[in-house]
Amino acid sequence: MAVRMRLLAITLFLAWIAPTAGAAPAFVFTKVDLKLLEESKDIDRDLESRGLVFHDAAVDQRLTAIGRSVLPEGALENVEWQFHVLRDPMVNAFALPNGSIYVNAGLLARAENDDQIAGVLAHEATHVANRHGYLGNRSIRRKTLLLNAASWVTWLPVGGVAGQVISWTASAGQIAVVLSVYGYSRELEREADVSGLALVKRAKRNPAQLARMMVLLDEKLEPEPVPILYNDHPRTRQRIDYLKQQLGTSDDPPAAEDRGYILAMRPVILQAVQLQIDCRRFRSAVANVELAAAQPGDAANLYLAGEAWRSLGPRRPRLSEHELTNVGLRAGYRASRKLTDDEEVRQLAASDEGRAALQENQANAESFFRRAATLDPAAANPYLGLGALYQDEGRTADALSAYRKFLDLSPGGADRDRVERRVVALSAAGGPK
Amino acid sequence: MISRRSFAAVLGLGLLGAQLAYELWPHIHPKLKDRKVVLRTAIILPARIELVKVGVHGSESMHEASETLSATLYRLVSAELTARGVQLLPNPAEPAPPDAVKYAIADLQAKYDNVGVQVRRNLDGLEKGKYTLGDRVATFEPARTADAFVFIRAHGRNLSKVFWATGPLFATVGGAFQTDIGVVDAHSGEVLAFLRTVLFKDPTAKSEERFPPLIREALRDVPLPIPAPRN
Repeated sequence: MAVRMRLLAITLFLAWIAPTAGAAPAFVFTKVDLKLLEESKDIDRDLESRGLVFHDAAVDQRLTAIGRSVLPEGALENVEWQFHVLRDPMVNAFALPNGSIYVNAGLLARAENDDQIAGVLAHEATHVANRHGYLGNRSIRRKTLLLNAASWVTWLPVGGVAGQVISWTASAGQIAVVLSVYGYSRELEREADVSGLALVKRAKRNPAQLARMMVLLDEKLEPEPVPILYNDHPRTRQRIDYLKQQLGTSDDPPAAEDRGYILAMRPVILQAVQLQIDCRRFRSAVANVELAAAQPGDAANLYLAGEAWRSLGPRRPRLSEHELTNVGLRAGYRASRKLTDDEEVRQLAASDEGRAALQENQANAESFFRRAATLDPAAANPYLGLGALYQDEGRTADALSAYRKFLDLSPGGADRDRVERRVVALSAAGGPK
Repeated sequence: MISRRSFAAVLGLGLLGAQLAYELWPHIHPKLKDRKVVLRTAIILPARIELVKVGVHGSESMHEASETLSATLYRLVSAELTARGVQLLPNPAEPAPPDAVKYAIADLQAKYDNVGVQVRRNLDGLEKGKYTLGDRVATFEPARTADAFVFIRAHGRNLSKVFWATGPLFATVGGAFQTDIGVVDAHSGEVLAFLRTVLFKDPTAKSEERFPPLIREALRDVPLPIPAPRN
């Protein structure tokens, strides 16, 4: 009898804390939900005021048109659809419960065509329409309450330490917000993938491109943290498999680069590449800029391509097989957090392999800078790139000559101060005056 | 005879105290220490504050309180630097600047945060002149005449009363509000100083009284035009 009662209590409790995916169509807002809605609006304002939202009229218009084509039918209470480009180099997109959908510049730079973006937006719109943010928040709040209750129970018998550990685990971070940015539970993600696919089909766009986008997302260009024990988010490979199942195909969809898309997204791609160089995602920068640099007649693209190759230094443009294993990804990520860029470059350049990669990358960089200078003889930036490249190579006289050419071409530019300082430093170090 | 358990507890507390003292110690680049770089003019970038309320259901953001605290810390750090003879350039984020300046501020903040992860991991590295944001920081137009950028970061948890009931020690430590001030050379991008203060009280209450002595203490050993008064 007692066992039955306990089982009943456990069943009722589990039902209470379980996330209610596929909930009743009429969503009733509670006080907690309305608070989350307000938080979403705060996040919108914050991202905008902090300069993290990228504005370009043509890009915004294109993104909004793609987004509107895959929205679920009918109006939704407390949802105002908005589509934004986030100035973030990572390959990610997320939706806030109020209908604001953010696509990172890193994702737009990685995508090959509009239909892939449509797939991503349809997926995110499903999270909003099916109220996944609110459901996830409610579920987390219940679980946190349970964890806190457990911490108070363990507080007395074990002197408080275990209780406190549980308690701090429960209170770590703004869970609801983290949840909406980095992913929901497996069930909700799957629901968003499958419903997203249906929305793409309904918009008469190519649904196979959602699977292709997943393939692009699955390509690891940088060492990243890999969860050791449990990952709530379905693995991308699993997602590709069930999407292919839905599409009735067993092959990965082939690459589908659309020149029109790449030209239209050029400002975002350039932005993403610069951000990737700034935060040491050099391989991503090289991969993304290659597409943009393939467009003829653009000196700015070529200069940035040169910068991406120069910044790559002694690294290979793709991770090796060993680096792609979980152990390799973790080790690479740890090293990137521990070592400064200079230290990492010195360490890698100490090996034959690193030196070979360095030479190859520097040759690529020089070729891009020279092409940019030939294409637009009045452009100063290619000489800034050449100067930095020659300085890296220890070719002081060539570096000084390139920097002086830069100063001639751009006498009042924003870079003038730092280039003059470099010239002074190089001259003092023994270069020609 | 002291029991093993008590010894472990005393040792643990001692190590914790030593770690805290090390983190609160001002970490200064040799160039600044030796006055090879003099900070006469500086620009403070908008403070980034993360304050969350922790209750039995988990945490939620305290957006408004964070915004208020951000403005307060900006003002108090400005006041202390001015008192020490540093001329401050106007806040580049006020009034709302055009997109290009907004992006440039965001990029500087992001760069500082990226390097900040490494600085916090190894504060000794700063004293060896290891960390830099790169000389592209010099292209930030509003800081053209500045010698240094000042970055302010702070985070903390506002704990509900229930947490205080479970354990005052853990609640005090867990509810601590930590403020970091980073000083970066506006020409070379080198991180010149990293200073930390910790407030073991509610940061939203009496902030105008509680923070000034902490900020003064944090900046005390940083060579600035006017030396800090010695007690």
